[in-house]
Amino acid sequence: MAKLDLHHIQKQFGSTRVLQDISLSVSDGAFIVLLGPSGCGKSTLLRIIAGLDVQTAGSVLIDGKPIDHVAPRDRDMAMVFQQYALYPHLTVRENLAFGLTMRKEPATVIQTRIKEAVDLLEIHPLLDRLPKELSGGQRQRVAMGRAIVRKPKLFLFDEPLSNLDARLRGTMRIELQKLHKRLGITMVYVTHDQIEAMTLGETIVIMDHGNILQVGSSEEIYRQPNTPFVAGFIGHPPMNLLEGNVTTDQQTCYFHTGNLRITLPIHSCPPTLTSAVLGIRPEDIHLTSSETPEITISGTVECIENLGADLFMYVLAQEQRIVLRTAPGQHKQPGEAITIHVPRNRLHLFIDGQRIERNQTP
Amino acid sequence: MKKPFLECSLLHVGIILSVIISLVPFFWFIITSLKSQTAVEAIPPTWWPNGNLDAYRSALLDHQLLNYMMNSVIVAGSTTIIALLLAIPAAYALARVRMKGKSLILGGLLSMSMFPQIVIAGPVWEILKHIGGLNTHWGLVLPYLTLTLPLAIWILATFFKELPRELEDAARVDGCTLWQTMSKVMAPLAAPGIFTAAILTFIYAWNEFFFALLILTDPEQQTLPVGIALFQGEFTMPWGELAAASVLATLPLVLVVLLFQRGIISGLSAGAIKG
Ligand SMILES: Nc1ncnc2c1ncn2[C@@H]1O[C@H](COP(=O)(O)OP(=O)(O)O)[C@@H](O)[C@H]1O
Ligand SMILES: [Mg+2]
Repeated sequence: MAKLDLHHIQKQFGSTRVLQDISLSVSDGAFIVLLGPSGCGKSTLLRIIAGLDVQTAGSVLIDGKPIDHVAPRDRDMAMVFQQYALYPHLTVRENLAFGLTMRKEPATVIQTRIKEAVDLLEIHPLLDRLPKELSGGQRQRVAMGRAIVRKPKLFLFDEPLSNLDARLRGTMRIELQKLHKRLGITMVYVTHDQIEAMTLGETIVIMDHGNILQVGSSEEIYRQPNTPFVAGFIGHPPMNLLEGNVTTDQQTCYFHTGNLRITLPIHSCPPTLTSAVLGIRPEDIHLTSSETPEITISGTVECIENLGADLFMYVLAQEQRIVLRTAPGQHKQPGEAITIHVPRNRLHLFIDGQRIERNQTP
Repeated sequence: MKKPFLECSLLHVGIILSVIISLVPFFWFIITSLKSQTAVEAIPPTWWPNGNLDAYRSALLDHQLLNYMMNSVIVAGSTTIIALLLAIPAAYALARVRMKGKSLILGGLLSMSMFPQIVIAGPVWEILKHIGGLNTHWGLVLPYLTLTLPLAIWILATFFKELPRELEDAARVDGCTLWQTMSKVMAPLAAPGIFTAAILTFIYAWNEFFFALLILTDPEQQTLPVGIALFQGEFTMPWGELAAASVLATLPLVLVVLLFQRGIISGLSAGAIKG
């Protein structure tokens, strides 16, 4: 059990900056997910927390104390790696016992801890096998078990599910949540998969290019993305991001792209022709008009993807492609004209790469 | 599925031929070593040995074979141990550290192991004379290290590169010191590579003749190849003793290879990572 703080962590490999200036606070017992595209520095950050890499600047604190000069072995953290990294020359039992043996735990403690983990993960029949005799899912469980038996202060997961097939991933996500509830140990979980992040994390940290873009619950990040990047990264299909300009006309402020002009409900308008991005979630677009104040856009249907439960429709409007998500049962054909409706309170506006709330001064 | 008959029999013929070609000389001197002096020199040669152990007795007692063997054990043994102690960290660094010109270093190492010995013979002798290394075992171990290290490092570096880095990270997080990471995780996994490098180094040092002849002129210090080559007979070449000594000199080598081979379990690293 521990509280983790990162103070202005920077990391450079040679002349390339991989982490810019990362500050983050993880409270005791929290489950935090670092989400970002491949290569954005997630693993590097995790390795710095574990002490496997040394940061160029900044400090890692556990329970308020800096641990920058503490060796990985003395940090009392357990890490699950993307490739599992089971010791191939040791049986499953020996793999599980390894960390405890290295810490010179008494044999009886090792026995009970292994038993607990084995019962929890249901890997009893595997105990005397070598890693090469296990399937991917079984290796993943053993890797998890190797971390659990340690009862560390902090769990670090580096994309532990990315090598599993979709069904197994779903099961493991649930297992992981149960595990966190049961153990109550602080967990830092890294992934590039937004679904994993949304389902697992109490708190999600969105990273890109070595920066933290937003920290919040999955609800907050979905409802109020900070930047166009976050907006486009979360949600499936991704949010429609229309690029255009701000224009003013007699004290009214408009978002302008092609023939499309939308009144912006903000107090003071930025200078005319400031570039802006308008975000619309595919699931916020309706095909019929409703009572709420809304905008309408007309266009033509480009193509339709029917996924059974959902239907994605790609609409070409004002020289922009807009995807919308609706229930199946629509009888539109590609090439047909269509009018789409979006409630005004569901529009996301970004100016200078920053979210502008309604009635907020940019 | 059965392999085509032709392919199968070609394979067998190939195997049998290579075994015969490599073992015939060996069998011939085993036979020779078991003949009496007159049988050795008989023309036409007799094919069946008469089970005479005189040659062995003479090689061991009259020619101090055990002394030479002891010298060889010391020289080849220390060469192997020191070479490994130096090569393992060097190879590890070459395999792990990201740096410029690494492939150049590795290529350079490989080409260095192909250098003709004669090129460095003169300078080595001069240097050893200067530092008092002539006629000493360490004076021979030194050039042996120079000659065996490049290949040993190269072999080991290739092996270390195959081992996933995450394994080391896992060990460090699990509570290993750097040394424990090496001895408990990396070494067992790199064992096939370490054994290969050890066998090659040992065989080289055990069989090396040219530098041994050059550096060791004192019969008390000489290693097996030199000692055997300098066997003296009263009136004729002592072929029987030479053959007997060669058989005895080969035995430790066979033993070492058999011993080390047990440690070489290939594919051990399978299952560490996905796949
Ligand atoms: N040891 C290293 N030396 C140089 N560059 C590195 C090293 N490790 C990672 N990088 C670079 O740092 C960036 C971030 O890597 P990483 O943290 O692994 O990203 P992620 O885990 O988010 O995919 C990548 O561009 C990668 O090439
Ligand atoms: Mg990564």
